[in-house]
Amino acid sequence: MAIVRTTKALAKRIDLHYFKRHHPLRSLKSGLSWGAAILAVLWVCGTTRRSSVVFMNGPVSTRHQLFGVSCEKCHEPWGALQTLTRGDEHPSVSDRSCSACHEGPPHHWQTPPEGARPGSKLSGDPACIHCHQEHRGHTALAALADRTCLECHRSLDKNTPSGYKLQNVRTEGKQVDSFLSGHPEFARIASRSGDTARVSLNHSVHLRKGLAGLPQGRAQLACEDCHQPDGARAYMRPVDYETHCAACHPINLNDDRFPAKMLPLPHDEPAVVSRFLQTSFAALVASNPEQITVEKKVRRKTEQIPILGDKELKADAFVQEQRKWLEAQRDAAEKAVLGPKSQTCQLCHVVTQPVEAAASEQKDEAASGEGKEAAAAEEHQKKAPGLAKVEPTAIPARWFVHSRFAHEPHRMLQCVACHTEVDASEKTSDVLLPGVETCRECHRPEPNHARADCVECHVFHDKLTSTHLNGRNTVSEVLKEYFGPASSGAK
Amino acid sequence: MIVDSTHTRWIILSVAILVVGLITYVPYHATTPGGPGGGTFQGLIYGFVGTAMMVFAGLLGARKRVRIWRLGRAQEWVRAHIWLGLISFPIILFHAGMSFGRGSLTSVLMWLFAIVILSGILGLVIQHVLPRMLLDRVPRETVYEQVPRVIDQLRQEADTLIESVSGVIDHPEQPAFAEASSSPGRRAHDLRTRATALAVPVEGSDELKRFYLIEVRPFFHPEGIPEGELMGAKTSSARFGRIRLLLPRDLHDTLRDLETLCEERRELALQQKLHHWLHGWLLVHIPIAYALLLLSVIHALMSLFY
Ligand code: HEM
Ligand code: HEM
Repeated sequence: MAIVRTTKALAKRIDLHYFKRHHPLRSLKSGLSWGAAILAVLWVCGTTRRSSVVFMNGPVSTRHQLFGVSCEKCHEPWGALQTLTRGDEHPSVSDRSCSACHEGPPHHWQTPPEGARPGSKLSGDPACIHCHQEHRGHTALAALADRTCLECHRSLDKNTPSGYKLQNVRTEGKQVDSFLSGHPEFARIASRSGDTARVSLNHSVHLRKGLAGLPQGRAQLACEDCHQPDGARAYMRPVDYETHCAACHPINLNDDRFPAKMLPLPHDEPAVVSRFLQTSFAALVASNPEQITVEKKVRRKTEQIPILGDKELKADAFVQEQRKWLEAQRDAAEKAVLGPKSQTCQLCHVVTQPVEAAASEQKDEAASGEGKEAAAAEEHQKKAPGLAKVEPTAIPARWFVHSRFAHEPHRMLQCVACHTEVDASEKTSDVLLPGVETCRECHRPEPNHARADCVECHVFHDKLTSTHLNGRNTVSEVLKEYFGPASSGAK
Repeated sequence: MIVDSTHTRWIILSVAILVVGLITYVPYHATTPGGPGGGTFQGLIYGFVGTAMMVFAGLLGARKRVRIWRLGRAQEWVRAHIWLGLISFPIILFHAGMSFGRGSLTSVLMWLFAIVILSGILGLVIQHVLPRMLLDRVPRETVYEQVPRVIDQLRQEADTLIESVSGVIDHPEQPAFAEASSSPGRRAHDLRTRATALAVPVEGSDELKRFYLIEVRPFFHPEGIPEGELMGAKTSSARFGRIRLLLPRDLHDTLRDLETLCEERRELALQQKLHHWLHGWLLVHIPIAYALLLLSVIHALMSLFY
């Protein structure tokens, strides 16, 4: 007979009091729950005994590692509650915490918005931590992502949230997304006036092979003969006449009366040159007094008679004649070097003749109303009346003032790789700096390219306005502050 | 818990919370310069809302344990638990700015959270699939806690069956269950044993007895899930087939009954296995959930303080 189980039979197999008995699955559940909770607490307690790093939301940036585990150095107690009750303008790390160590000079404005004090923070300017986000790993806090900058500067023609408008940038319809997309051409390159420096320079001639006056063994001038980097190897030092030009372009007054038939002149202001000329002629006359002659009628003929031989000349007349002679020599020499037809100074400089200076004074004043140049001319006339004026060369020391640049990291490149127009350039007005497209050849926000973040070239804080280098603390005070009393023992 | 139309209002509520979260999160994510995070105003709001939903999910356990908390129907709590618990994960992701945590505590939190959510989803899937499987494949299902006891009863039945044809069997092993010896079932068995002790062994029953003692009886051990030929339906049927060839026709009915008992034992083993899956996921879900809630509170307090 086969086994058949009815429901009743099945039910009868069960001990109806089974639920009163302890069952392993149920106790395992509560045992494991308690176990997990206790383990969690032990883990937190165990790790916090060593440091509070367990609570940290990611490691602090490299520079802050020094005090990275002392939360209270930056965070204010219950700071997040403030954010919650008063909004994001009150973060748990306030600007106060940052400025305990950092000067954080303001954003560089050329023209602050109306009513704002230059250098002061504007209402609506972001809090420090708005841009500098901590606990993002061992990075530099200043290495900001483009979107931080673009938050205010995406539309170049619009005001930033703090009411500031970018100055001297090309803004027409520009919407910047990255260096590659929307970044305007550098203003200096785009400007139609070109290089407005008032000095003549023909790069093409200077780079010609077999140029006269080259040092022995040299077939051609090289860029570095004239352009040398500054101490930081970032920018090029200004070209200096004595170092870079004098060897080939000495300034001489051609005059047979001087040794070697010429008088070497200083490279200086016309007034200095004028004084130098007068002194040089005085010295000449001291050693050759017969040089000074006066016109005299001798037997109805006019002759030049050395004044020394003129017995009739009275002493004061003698002196007067001497001065007249010196002035005449000087004026003639000045004309020879600074005069309109001279190619001595004017080989390179723009020289304004005395009459022109006066005329341009009036013209400029009438034209611009500013009278800036006119004032300079007036000043010049006061200092050196009747003298020609050598116009300031106005060669910019920095071309791209909104950015920073360093030649050093680019040293593997030929100069002409970026300054491509140099060989062919004949005019001063040619701007020989690379434009944005040249930079983009290497700097692209793409793999296998040089970085192209905003902060690669632009800085937010105008470090030039920060002067503070002399802090307030001793070494032991700093150690005590950062690492606690035990560490300040070391003197 | 089966997801059906009774879940609709919780699904609607949860999706509504998620949509509001998403609508507010997208512009917040796009316009926060260094990326969003838990410490901003909006990040903190997501943190609080997400934590509230998690704590509510955690209260399911407390609701079951603390009698005075038995507000609402248990099933309704589980429904709310599932949906609010599920949505709390994206809300906390919004809180963390879609980061999985960069610090030790925050990373641990997120991993524990992921385990809780995944085990919850796994549990739900199990609850959908296994009960039906149990119904189909274990028709003689019993109360899980009673499985060892029923197995012991099956063994006693098998003992009686074999003794009825081969005389008293001489087994070294005592009943595994001390409790069983005092049970009504045990007493019935003793009586039956005494009755069959007088039975004359059927010719050829030695082979059956040997087979029973060596292979079948250990199969009725009440603890654990046995292995071997008798565990598989096909291998077991093959084994019984081979034994059948060795036995006289008179013993074939007894062998068939023994096979049926083995089949029942197999069903109970399957019931045990399914039961372990059906409830075992909770051994991961619940402890990790409590650890998560505890660490979340620590994280919230420390984050608010600093
Ligand atoms: C009311 C409850 C909560 C509050 C007040 C809170 C607060 C905070 C705060 C202030 C931060 C930012 C910390 C910093 O940037 O240094 C943060 C980050 C974080 N929180 Fe919470 N939190 C809460 C709940 C939770 C919960 C329940 C979880 C997860 C289960 C969680 C996961 C995270 C994660 C992963 C981060 C890191 C985000 C990132 O990488 O930037 N939080 N929380
Ligand atoms: C914040 C997230 C969650 C927490 C803190 C949590 C916590 C818990 C706790 C403590 C229990 C045990 C209740 C008891 O003592 O029996 C439980 C049960 C359960 N959880 Fe969760 N849970 C969470 C999320 C989820 C999710 C997302 C799901 C499903 C998608 C889920 C599904 C379940 C189910 C089905 C049960 C069994 C309920 C029953 O039938 O008794 N849980 N959960």
